[in-house]
Amino acid sequence: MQTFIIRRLLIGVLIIFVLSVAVFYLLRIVPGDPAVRRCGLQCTEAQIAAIREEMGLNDSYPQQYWDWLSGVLTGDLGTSQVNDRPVSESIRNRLPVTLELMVLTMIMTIFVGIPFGIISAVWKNSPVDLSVRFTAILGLAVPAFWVATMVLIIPVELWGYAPPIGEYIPFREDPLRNMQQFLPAAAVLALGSAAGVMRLTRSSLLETMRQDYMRTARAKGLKERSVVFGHGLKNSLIPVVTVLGLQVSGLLGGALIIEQIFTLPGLGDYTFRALFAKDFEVVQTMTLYAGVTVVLLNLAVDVSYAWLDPRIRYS
Amino acid sequence: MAEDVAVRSSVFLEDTDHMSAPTMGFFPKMWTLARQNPLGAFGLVVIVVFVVMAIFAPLIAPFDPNAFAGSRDEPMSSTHYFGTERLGRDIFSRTVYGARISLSVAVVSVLLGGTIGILFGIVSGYMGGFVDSTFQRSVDAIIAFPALLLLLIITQALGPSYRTIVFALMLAVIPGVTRVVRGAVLSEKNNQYIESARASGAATPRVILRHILPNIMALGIIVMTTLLGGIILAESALSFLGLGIPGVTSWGQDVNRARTQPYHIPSAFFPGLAITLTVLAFNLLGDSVRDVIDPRLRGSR
Repeated sequence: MQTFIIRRLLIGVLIIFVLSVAVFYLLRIVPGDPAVRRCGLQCTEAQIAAIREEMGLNDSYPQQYWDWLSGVLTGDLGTSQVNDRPVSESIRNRLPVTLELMVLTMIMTIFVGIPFGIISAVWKNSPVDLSVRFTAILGLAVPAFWVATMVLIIPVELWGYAPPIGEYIPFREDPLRNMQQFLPAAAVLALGSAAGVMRLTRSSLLETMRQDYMRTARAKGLKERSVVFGHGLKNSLIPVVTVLGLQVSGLLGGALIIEQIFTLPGLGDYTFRALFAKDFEVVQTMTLYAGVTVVLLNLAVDVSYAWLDPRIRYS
Repeated sequence: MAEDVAVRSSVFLEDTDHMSAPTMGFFPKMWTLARQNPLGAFGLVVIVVFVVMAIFAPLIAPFDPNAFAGSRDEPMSSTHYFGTERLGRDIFSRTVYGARISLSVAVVSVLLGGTIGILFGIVSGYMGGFVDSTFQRSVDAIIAFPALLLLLIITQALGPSYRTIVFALMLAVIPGVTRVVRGAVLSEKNNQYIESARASGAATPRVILRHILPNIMALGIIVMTTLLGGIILAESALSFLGLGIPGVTSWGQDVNRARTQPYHIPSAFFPGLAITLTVLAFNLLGDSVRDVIDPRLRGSR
């Protein structure tokens, strides 16, 4: 188990390294001089030259990459051009927003997707099953940004109701208003992932129900409920856990859009602004964080298999 | 699993050639298939409608999508089927024209990315060793990453244009196809007929082209069909965020424009509905194609 984790971590570091180099070079293609952008239009040649020197733009690319990476590793992230504030301060302020959005989305994904998947599988081909499946197919096809837009503008236009968005309210200050901001956003973001989880839970549980030990459990005279929940569910949840892990990277991408629409000042919003302000060091840093998060989560998922299915042993 | 996939798809390819063809005409056969897969048939019909709409947009749309077409904010009527938006442009005409960019971008990038992915998958699976692990680690790296962020970075770096968007979406298609095809190639290449082909003196390119490629094509088509819907979603998200192709009518941009105040429900509703229907149709078709070609993969997505 330990060797497995260490090997996976090493591969993860390699993957993230390759990715960060690729993103670094990609961002250098963007036309225009970052020094000119930072300085503004009324800058003299000498001022621009000084800023170029200060930003390290005269160094070679590997040197620039190294300066950025060592900054990230030592916690010195510099100042952002988005708001002239230290990057580490912005991240500290914005992390709770994205974290809350992600946690709420995950809770909804799990508590909507899995129960409906079970219902659908247990009452296979019933009207309930058909309507759940139809909703899931729709949930996978509908663009989140469209639902989010409609959720925001329809109440305003038809009933004159606007949710309290625009100014972020931390959960500690006013839980109710905080939830009014976050719940619609998380619900929209969870649409696609809950639909995916529901479909997978259904097919996985149906697959498990065909196994011989399920027939044995029924033959022993167990109630249908304990057959499904006691024997079937745990075994059928293994692929569901994998997919939950895989969905995090998609949800992080979705947060880029959803935070924009619901004006939540999270990390997705920050990355988006940095990208448009051409503050590339911030984009690189955020990319790195996203990569690390995804790699660690997927490792956690693989490790959790061993708990879900004791037959799985990593060496 | 992967072994079954390869074996079954080869069985399928033989089936259609030898058994069904002489007894059944093309249309009766299609009818039977459609009867067995009503949802897939529905998807196909919707796709055909949208493709026709895209190709014949100038004939179908009653107004120029970018011109002032009467008055602003008009409700739905027999002249303006979906009404007009804030700038007085006809929403129905804009929705019809929007099909052009979504469909062409999605089909072109999936075809390009799918072809490259199949190629990479074959090379990776057939060569094995160092080449294989390099390919697989790169695939892991890209799949592990929020695709939308990568798409945003690429379009921002290269500047939004038709070519950039197709390129970026193509990159998003390659890893998934590569991984699935590699798995199929791995199991295929250990079959005895490959061994006998090699023993009778066939060179590597010939083995790949004549023996491996035909057996993984069905799988390649399945993967590509199932990816189309997601690619349309990604393209519309890019347009929504303002990084779509500039100067064209696109569904994502229209939804975004309706979001700036004063809000305008119909000009966001119809383009969004068009995206949903198209993606739904491609997903349904993808599922049916998979069920028909390879029933073992049922419910795998």
